[in-house]
Amino acid sequence: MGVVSALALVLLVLLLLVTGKDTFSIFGGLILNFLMIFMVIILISLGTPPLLTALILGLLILALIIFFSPVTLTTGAVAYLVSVVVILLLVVLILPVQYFGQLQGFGNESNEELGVFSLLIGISFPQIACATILLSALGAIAEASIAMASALRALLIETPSLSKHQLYQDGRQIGRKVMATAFNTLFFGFFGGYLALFIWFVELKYSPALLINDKLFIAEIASIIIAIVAVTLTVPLTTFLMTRWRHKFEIDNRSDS
Amino acid sequence: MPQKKIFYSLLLFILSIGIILGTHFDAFLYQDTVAKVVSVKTLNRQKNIDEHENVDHTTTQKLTLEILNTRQKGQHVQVHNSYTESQAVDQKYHVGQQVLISLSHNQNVVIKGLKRDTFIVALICLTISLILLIVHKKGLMAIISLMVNSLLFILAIQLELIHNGKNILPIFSGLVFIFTLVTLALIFGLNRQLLVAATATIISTFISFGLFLLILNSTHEQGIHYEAMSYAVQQPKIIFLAQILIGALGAIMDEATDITSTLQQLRLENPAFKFKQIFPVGMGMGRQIIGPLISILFLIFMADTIPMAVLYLRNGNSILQTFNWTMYLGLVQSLVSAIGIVLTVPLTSVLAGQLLGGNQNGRR
Repeated sequence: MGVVSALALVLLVLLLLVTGKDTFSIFGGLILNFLMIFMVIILISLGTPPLLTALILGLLILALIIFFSPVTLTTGAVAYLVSVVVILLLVVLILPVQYFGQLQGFGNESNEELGVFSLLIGISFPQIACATILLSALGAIAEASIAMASALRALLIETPSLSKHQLYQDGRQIGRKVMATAFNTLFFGFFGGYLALFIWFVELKYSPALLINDKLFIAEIASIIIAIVAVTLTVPLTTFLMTRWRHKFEIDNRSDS
Repeated sequence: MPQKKIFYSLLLFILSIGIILGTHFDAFLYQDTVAKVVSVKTLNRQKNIDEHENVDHTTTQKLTLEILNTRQKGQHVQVHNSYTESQAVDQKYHVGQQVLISLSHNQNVVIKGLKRDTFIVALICLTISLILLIVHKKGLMAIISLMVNSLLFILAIQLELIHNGKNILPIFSGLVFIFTLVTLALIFGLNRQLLVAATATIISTFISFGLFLLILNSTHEQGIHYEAMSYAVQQPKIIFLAQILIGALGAIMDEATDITSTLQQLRLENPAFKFKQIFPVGMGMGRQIIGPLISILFLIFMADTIPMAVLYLRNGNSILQTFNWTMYLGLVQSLVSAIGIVLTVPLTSVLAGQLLGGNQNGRR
């Protein structure tokens, strides 16, 4: 048995023990997400426009994460709508980021490993860079919007008479917590993903001047920042939408305004 | 108050503009030669078809550069740059961009790369402003926490270098403790909640790591190609193991924090609650957040594999080969992280149920 199959089996058993019947949706969601990423890669290789492909399948991935998690339909709908708006804003943000940063492709660092490949593959690596940055932020967007929407929903159900102003205040406070924890998750996730690269930089004694202009280094930092911006945008948008849609949570909104 | 707010916003704005402009005109700080593209002329465009029948175009452009520093400041030099349509390792240059070049005595110019400092500094300034705009000055805490962690991270890598890369695993194992204690202490302060969340985080991290080592052993590492790792030439396996240790730490802390603070709240509101009432609430909360947390890390690790996977597929490799050589390690890392994330739920719930006394004065 391969390592991946063994790990998947252990994960499945642990999920059954800890989450019981939710195992199906969590594990199933993970497998579907994997298939989506695989689809993105295959479609891009077949020649579809990379950013558009990532955007369309990204919308599906968001739906998978949000609606496969145990939220009510309305909470899920709010979380999804927010995520869609944020991902569209991200596309608008990523295009200038890629244009000014030129973050595409591979660095001089990978020359050795690339030797055997033909690099003239006729697919735009600048667009693939945009697709990669967009997809790596998706999980964080979904998690933040679910956390915000669920917390605000709980608040509205607990105190239906909450004024609009109070809701915004509480939203900001919950938002701070959601952001702080999401930043941590992203920080360690990205650094855990790129540790090899950072050790490489240090071992080869890259000077600060070289580092701050290096394509790969800046590409990684830009990816983290885009994900952080995504979470930051998710927070107030969810509060805004929850305030607008509070009546959908069967709550009297006459006390409003 | 609003006056103060306007003052600080203005200060932040001026500071940002200052820093951004500063890096735009910082060529004099560089030892490398910095130059600005002042004119671009496209010379020719050539069609390429490679052995896998991929069609691409190579364009050659003639760039005129104005040198911005060193003794040759103000001089103009010319250089040819060719770029492919896919721009995998090359790029198209535009007028106005600044580049780092190396200049030999006979005025032979080689472009080393784009100058990206202004870009990244501007992006960081914009992001900090956005965070402060949305959560006001209390957002500073999140930014400070990120900075402290970055600093620790840099120190750890330096330490690793001093040891000539011999003690990567011990160093990063130690770092797990420090990262966890520092980050969680910033959230909780020094109290029993910190003890619960930190213990749960550290134990889950090391149990999932131990399980992974066990699986590596019993499967004889079947399917893993460490040599597929980029940039880890010397000891890819050790570096991969260190990546596994660090990668899920944030998500696990996130989860342990959420469960601990909720259970503390519960205990404060219901001092009579015993383990039997507290434990299931923690488990219920955990069930809700496991899925999205796993997805965050999964997408970070898998999205990273896309450029290489596309390159593999377009170079005539089969889907299976591409999966094995570009996606396998990312998937392994996602799965080990997922195991850690799942383990954290019962661990935190048990510890919180046992250790959080109702009369304990935690911060919340």
